[in-house]
Amino acid sequence: MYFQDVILKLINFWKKKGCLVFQPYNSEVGAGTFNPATFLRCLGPFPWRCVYVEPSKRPKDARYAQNPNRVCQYYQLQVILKPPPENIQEIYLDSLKTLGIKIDSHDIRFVEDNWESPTLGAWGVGWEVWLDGQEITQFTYFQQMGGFDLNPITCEITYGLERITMYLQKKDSIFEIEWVKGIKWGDIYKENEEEFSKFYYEIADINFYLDEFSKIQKETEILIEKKLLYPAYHNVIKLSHIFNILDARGAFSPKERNLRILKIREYAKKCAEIYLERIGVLKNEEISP
Amino acid sequence: MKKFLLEIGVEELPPFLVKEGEKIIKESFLNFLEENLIEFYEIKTFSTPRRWAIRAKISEKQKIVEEIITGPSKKIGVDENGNFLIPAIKFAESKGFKKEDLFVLNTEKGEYVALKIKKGGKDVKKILILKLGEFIKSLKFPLMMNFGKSFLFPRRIRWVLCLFDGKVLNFEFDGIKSSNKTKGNRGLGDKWIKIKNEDDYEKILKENLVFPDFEERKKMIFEKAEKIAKEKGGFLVYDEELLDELTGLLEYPGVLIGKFPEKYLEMPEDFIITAMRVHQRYFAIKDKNGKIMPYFITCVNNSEDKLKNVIENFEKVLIARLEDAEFYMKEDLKIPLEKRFPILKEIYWDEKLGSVYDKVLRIKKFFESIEIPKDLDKEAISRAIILSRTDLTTEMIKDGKEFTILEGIVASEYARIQGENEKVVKILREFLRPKNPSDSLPELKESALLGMIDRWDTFIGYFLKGYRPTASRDPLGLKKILYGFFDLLINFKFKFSLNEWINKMVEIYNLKDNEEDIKKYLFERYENYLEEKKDIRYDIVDATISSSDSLYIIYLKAYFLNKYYKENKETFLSVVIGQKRVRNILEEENIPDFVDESIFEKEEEKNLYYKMKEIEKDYIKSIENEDFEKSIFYLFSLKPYIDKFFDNVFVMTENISLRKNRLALLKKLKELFDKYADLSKISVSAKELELNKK
Repeated sequence: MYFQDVILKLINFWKKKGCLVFQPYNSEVGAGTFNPATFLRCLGPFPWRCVYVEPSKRPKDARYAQNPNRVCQYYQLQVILKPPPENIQEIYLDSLKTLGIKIDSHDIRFVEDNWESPTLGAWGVGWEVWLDGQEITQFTYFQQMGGFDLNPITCEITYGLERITMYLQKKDSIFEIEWVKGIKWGDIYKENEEEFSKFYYEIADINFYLDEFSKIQKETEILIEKKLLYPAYHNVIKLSHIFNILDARGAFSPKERNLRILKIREYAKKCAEIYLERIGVLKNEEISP
Repeated sequence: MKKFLLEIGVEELPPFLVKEGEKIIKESFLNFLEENLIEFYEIKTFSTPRRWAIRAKISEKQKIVEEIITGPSKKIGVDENGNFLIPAIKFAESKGFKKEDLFVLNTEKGEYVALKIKKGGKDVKKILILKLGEFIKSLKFPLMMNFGKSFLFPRRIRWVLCLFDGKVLNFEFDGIKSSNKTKGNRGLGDKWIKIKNEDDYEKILKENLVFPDFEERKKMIFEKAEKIAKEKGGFLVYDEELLDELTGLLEYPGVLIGKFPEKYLEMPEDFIITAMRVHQRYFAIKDKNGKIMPYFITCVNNSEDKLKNVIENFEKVLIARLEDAEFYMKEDLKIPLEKRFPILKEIYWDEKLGSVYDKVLRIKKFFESIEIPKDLDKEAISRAIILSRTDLTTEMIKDGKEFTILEGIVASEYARIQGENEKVVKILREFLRPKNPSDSLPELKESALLGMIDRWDTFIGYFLKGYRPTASRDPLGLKKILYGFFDLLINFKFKFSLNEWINKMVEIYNLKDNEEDIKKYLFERYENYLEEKKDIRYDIVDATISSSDSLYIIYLKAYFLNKYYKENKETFLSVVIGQKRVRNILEEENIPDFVDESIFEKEEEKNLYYKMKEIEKDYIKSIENEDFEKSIFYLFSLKPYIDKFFDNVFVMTENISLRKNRLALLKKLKELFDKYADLSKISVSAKELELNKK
């Protein structure tokens, strides 16, 4: 099965399960969880189901296209189910069957992996799903987002699309994945990986990005003050990516690294607060300073 | 007795909670039975990642117990002729009894109208139907999640199976209904399996690739893994923790062997084992020379026959991790460890106490300023100090993933590759041990000393910045650090001067503090440690603590004193009581320093004095030689003389010169004892006192 068919099959599968077919966010994110369709929508009481592909950009995973399994940009398929159906694990396993994976002749395991995002003030309990020792999916029941307890809880299923395809196509390297007949993943992304690796590790101008970070910080504070939720949250996403670039460049001492994470989390929490207020869950005076 | 089976089906549990949760459920269930007057025998519990179960034989009817309940007071309920009045009769009726059943009971609070009621005797089945739901809801585990119900549970509950006397026991709670259905191994697809009889439970589950007995599953994994390793001519690298974790991850004990390219064997063995173990949870195999072989053993949650063709999938994943290690190593070796030392300035150790670089510099200064035992290789330690934390700057450790646990070992391996001397390599490898209470100690005394200095720096630093942990709150883990310090000190018999160690380190920190406070705090921890780890009475340590400037000597003294105490309780306690008397008597002022033999009046005075003189030299010598068992022998040989002295000599006589002389004698006696320990600090309980009188 070609890479593009894996994507289409999974999207179709979840569309049939009642998920709205959404689209990726238009700024760099480390994970699909940052997309407002997850971060904001899992707050508050309203049901929500969606599926979307999200390009995940992680500067620290850059390997100059030398590691067959690690790259600084890959695709996640994100499924959000709020509240989660009773038999969500079984539905998930059915989705693997539509990709032609025979559950009975493999080792499928749900291995505890409690998830936490310090930048988003979020945590959940869940698993990595292992297929023959390979992690192919992250499965999480969010318990908290933006520092707020969730009710109802939301289930997030994140497929590593390349990992699954490598497995289906029996490829040893991500670069060998057949996107479609005659075109490999590496044909499209190898140079991209090489050049971004060089950029993240060698070229990215630390001073420029530090400056950028503090400018966006200032702007974010104004946006929060004015309760302009979506631009403010957009800035949270941008800060997080700049942070990741600086981190890959080794620009932070552990202490400073922590302080920056705390700062971004503070903004993420404020955004969650504005959102909850807007949908009528929180009244302004209920929010503690 | 009726058969009973309860199974709670859940989504996959965290591995550590499988067995732990089984214990919690068993205990809670036993309490539940007791509270509800249900008798039982033959109770067995089960656990897998997807289920906890209890099977038991329980009584059909509740036990019957009698209980007395009280109603209104006699004043209100009974007239002067002893007739029960309306309030008393109402009380009887409200409990379903008649006037004739009432009686008057004398209680601590006065006289009351009372009834003798019988509790229990009800149908157990009805009670179970009524209360099992609440029982499940009330279970408390160390880890719980919100899953949209009115209660928390470790993972979402998916089904509850409950049988009583061969039939379904129907109950419902929070939208969850019990049934006689369960599920098998995930690999067999998602279908319901009926359990018709409590006794069939294990058999039917096993047919569906679920081995519900935790210990049985664990044993099977181990035996299969051992066998498969032998077939390759190797030995399983046994790892109990991993085995437990795997047993908590699998419902079926499947075991497969795979291989990896030999080229990775060029990497340090620990890197390979860590790549296998931490994330993939594979076992390693070693050959008969103890060298790692290019194989791994993985456990699978499905029957081996079905999976033989997919072992290459497991191999691929491992190779990716080995690739990571190789990448990090290649990057890391570009910068020699020595050049990494200044980079430690960028890594902070503690907000108030500076960077790791500062810490290493302090350790270096301290090491250079204290007296070092002559048998130690000073040069190797000096070199190791400089390199000791450099691996914090390596990709291998910085990655924050599986290899982080190799702190110390990474520095050691890179030092080896860069041609450092073997001793330095070994010190780097072991100086952080013990990393946890079950970890082994280093082999070299040099490593132990560096480990101690490192911990000493941490302790003094934390103390100086005002950190004072309590038994329940110790976020920086100071207790663990000090316990590691004491372990090293005792096992390697380090006899350094405590005052010197405190003064030098405080001086290096250049922060003011009361050194006596540090000492007091440290002694408290030391007393806890010796009581907890060496089973030495707290106050016996306390008695010896001011008699030496060396923590090791204090330990030895306390150890032998405690040993004597355990073997000769009576003698010991009577001497302690004697020493307490001596201490009390000696409160008088102006006691002369010398005993005047010429004014002895009684035999017992003389005898005690001469006995003291007789042993004094040998006793002091034995203390100097640290032959404390002997010292105790000498000291306690005084006991009959002390006893006789107190029985026959009146110290506080009116005759001043006699009294002063007797006090001088006792003062000398106390000085003799104090060379070993101040026994008067040992507390004697009333019970022990009683024992002693007999």
